[in-house]
Amino acid sequence: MRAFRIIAAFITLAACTPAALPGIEPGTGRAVLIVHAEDPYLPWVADVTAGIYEVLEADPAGRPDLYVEHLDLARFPEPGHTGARAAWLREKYRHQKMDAILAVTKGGLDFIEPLAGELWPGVPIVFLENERFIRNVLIPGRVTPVLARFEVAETLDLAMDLLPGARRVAFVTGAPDIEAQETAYVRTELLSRSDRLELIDLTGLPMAELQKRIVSLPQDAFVFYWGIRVDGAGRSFIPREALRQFAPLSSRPIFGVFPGQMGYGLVGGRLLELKELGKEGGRAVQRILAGEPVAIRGSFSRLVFDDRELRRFGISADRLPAGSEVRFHEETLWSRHPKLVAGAVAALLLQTALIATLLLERRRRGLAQALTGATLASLPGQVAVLDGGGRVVQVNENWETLAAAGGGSPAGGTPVGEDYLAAWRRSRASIGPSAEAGLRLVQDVLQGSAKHGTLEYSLPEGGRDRWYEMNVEELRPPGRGAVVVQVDVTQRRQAATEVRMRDREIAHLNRVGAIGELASSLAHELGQPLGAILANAQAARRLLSRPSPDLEEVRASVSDIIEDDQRAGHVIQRVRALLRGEETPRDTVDVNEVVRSVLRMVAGEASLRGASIRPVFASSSPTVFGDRVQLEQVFLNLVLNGLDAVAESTPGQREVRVSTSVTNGSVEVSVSDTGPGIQSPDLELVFEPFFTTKAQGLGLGLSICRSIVEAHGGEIRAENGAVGGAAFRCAFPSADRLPA
Amino acid sequence: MNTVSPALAVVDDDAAFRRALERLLRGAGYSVDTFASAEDYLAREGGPRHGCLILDVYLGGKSGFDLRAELAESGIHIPVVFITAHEDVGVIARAASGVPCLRKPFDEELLFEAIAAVTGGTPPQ
Repeated sequence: MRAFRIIAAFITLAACTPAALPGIEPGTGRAVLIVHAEDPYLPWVADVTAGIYEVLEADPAGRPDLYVEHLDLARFPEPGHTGARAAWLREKYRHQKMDAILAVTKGGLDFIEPLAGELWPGVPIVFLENERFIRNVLIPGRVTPVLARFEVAETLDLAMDLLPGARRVAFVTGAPDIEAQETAYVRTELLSRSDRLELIDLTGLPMAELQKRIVSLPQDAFVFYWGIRVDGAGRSFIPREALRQFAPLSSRPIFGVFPGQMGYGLVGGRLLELKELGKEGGRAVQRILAGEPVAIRGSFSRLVFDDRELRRFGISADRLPAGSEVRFHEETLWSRHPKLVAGAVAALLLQTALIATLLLERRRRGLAQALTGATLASLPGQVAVLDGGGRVVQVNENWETLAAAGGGSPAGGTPVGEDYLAAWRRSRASIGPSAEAGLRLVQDVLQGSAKHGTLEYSLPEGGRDRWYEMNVEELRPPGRGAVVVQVDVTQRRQAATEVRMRDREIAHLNRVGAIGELASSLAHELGQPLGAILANAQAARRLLSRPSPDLEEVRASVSDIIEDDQRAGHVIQRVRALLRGEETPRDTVDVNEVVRSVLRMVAGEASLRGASIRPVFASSSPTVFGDRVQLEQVFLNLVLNGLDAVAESTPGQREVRVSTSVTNGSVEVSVSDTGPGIQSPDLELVFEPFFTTKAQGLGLGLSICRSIVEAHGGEIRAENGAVGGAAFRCAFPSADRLPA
Repeated sequence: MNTVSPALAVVDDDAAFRRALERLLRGAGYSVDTFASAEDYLAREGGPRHGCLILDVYLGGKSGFDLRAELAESGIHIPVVFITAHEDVGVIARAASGVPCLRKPFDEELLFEAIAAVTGGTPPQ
C-alpha cells in the first residue's frame, strides 16, 4: 500500500511540469493568459475556466503556466476603470512573455486585443464567445474564434412541445442598459418565434416588482429567464440567486439556457455546457501551441430538466425529448431496501435448511457411523449428539473447533465424553437466565417431555453481543438422547434490527410526505393568524398616532395579537410533532378531537381540490389509549387517500365522509369516499407494502396505517360501499374498558 | 371622524381575522360591515349598499367566487377585492381574472390601494 502511494505521488509530480511548483524554474516555459470580462464568481465563468484548466493541465506536452484575469467589466464599464485596468496589467505583465491568450466574450477580446498587440506582438488569441453576439464583427487574423451559441429559440420550441397550450413567453432578465447587447440578442431570438409566441416583457424590473408580476402570469404563458445581474432598482445579483428569489412565486414554468441556474427554479431547457466550451478553448490553445490546425466542434448544449419543477407544473417526464437528463429526483429509500429484505430472507432460508438437515439426520440414524460423521461434518453450525444421560457422544468439526477455541456458548464446545448438562449448569454465572432456559430445554428433550425446542441467547463477545440459536431435537425412541445444533445468528438479528429501523424511517418519510402534500394548507393555516396579527398591529399603530388614542381599543388589538400568535404557534408545534414523529407518551386520547385536528389540517387542501369533507362525530367523546400523533397520521393518510380517490369524480360529487362511533366498547373511525372504490379483487391487498394505484405513490401509507392501528390493539378493514366508493374502518378498544 | 367612501363589507369565516380587519379599516376611516359567510351576506336585511366587497376566497360554505358570481347574476356589480391565506395567489388571480387578490398577511397599504383601484377612489393616508 505504502509503495503504491509513493508511486502515485511520483506520477503526480511527473505529470506536473516544474513550472507548476513555486520556486522551481519553468520547464516548458510556455505561458497562457485567460482573460474574462466578467466577475469570477459567476458560475458560468468558473465553468469556462474549469474546462480550460482541465484540458491544459493534462496537456501531454506539459502544463503551461496559466494566468487568469477577471475584469468585471459588466458591472464597472466606466472608461476610468478600464483604463486603469489596462495600465495595471501593462505593468504586471511587462516582463512576462505570453505564448497564447484565451479571451472569453467580446468584452474580454476588445479589452485585451490592443494590449496584447502592444505587450506581445503576434501572440495568437483564442476567442470564446457566443456566435450570435459577434455577428458583423470583423475578427482579426491572429484571433481563432471558438463559438458556442445559446439555443434560445430551440429552447422556446422545446417549451412549446412540453406545454401544448403555450402562446406567450415572458422574458425575464436584468436592466437592459447594463446588458444591452445580450438583451437585444435574446430578444431577437425570442422574436424569431413571434408567429407562435407573443412576448411579455418583464426585463429590467426591480426585483419586488418582478415578484409581483410573476405570480399572475396568464395560463398560456411560460417564462424564459436569461440572467439578472443588476435589477431595475440597481441592485446587484448573481443571476441564479435572483432566479431563486422569484421562481417559487412564478405561476408558470421557467425555462433557461444556463446550466448554473439548474436547481434554482428552472424547469429545464437546452443548457449550454460552458465547461465544454472552455475545454474546446483549451484544446484550441493546445493545437496552436503545437503548431497544428484548429478544428472546432459545434453544439455545446444539453437537454436538462429538474424533476421537482416538472412535477410542480404537472409536466410528464414521458413528454421529454429523447436524450433528456432529469435531475433532482426525490431520493427514495427503496433503492436500498430490497437488499435488506433479501438479507432477512436468506437468514430464514438458512434456518429452514438447518431444520431440514436435522430431519435428514434423524432418518439416517440407522446408517453407518461413518456416514453420520460425514453428515455431521457437512452441517453448518455446531452439532453434537447427546446420549440419554446428556453426555456428548459425537460432534462435528465446527463443534470441536469451538471447543478448542473455548468460544461460543460456555456449553457450546463441550468435548466428547463430557456431561453437556453440567456444562450448562456451570455457565449460569456467565450468561444468567439464558443458561437456566438452555439447561431446562436440553433436560426436557432428554427426558421426553418435549420433542424439540429452540433457544436464542446472547453472549458478550469483544464488547458486543453475539447471538446464537440453539435447536435441540430428540432422538427416538424417547430417552435415547438428543441432537443439539447451535448457529451464530448475530447477522440475522442485525438485519432484523435494521429492517425495524427502516420501518421507522419509512413511517417517518411517509409522515414527511404527508406534510409535503399539506404544505399549501399549512401555509393557509399560518396565513390566517399572521394576517390578523398584521392587521391588528397596523390598526394599533393608527390608533396610537391620533392626538388622543383610544387605549382600550389599542389594548384589545394587542390582546388579539397575542392570541393569534399563539394560534400560529400551535400550528407550528403540530407540524413539528408530526415531522419528528417522536413517540409521544401514550395517553387517553379523545378520538373526536384527533379527527377534528386532522380535518383542520386538510380543510384547505379539500377546498382547493373542490371536495367536501363531511364529518359525523359520536355524541359522546370516545377515547382510546394511544399515541395522538400516530393516530393523527393514520386518519390523515386515510383522508388524503379519500381526497385522491374523488379527484376524478365530477365536481359536486367529491365527498369524503369521516365518522366516529362507539359500539360494544370499541371505538370506530371510518373514512369513506365517493370515488371509484377499490378495484383489487382482494381488499386485504391494499394494506400490503408497495400496493399503490397512484402514479406518484410509494404504496406505503396504508401498510403503515395498519401497523399503527394494530400497535394500538385495533384493526383496520377496507370495504367497497354498496353504492360505490371505498371505506376504511378502524376499530380500537375503548379506553373506558381498560383498567385505569 | 369623517369616513372615506365607500362603505365596505368584509366577508371572512375567520372571526379573529374579521375583527382585526374591521378594526384596521375603521381606523383608516372606512365604514365597515362584517359577515362570517357568503350566506350571511346574502341574507342581510336592508342596510346600506356596499361600495366594495372584501371577500375571503375559501369560506365555510359558498366560496367568495360563488358569492361574486351570484351577485353578478342578479345584476349586482359591486367592486371586489379577494383576500386569501392560500398559497397560490396565481391560481386565484387566474380564476377571478381582473380582480385583485391579496395574500394574507398583507400590508394595509396594499389593501387600501386595491380598494381604491377597484372603486376608482383614492387610498387613505
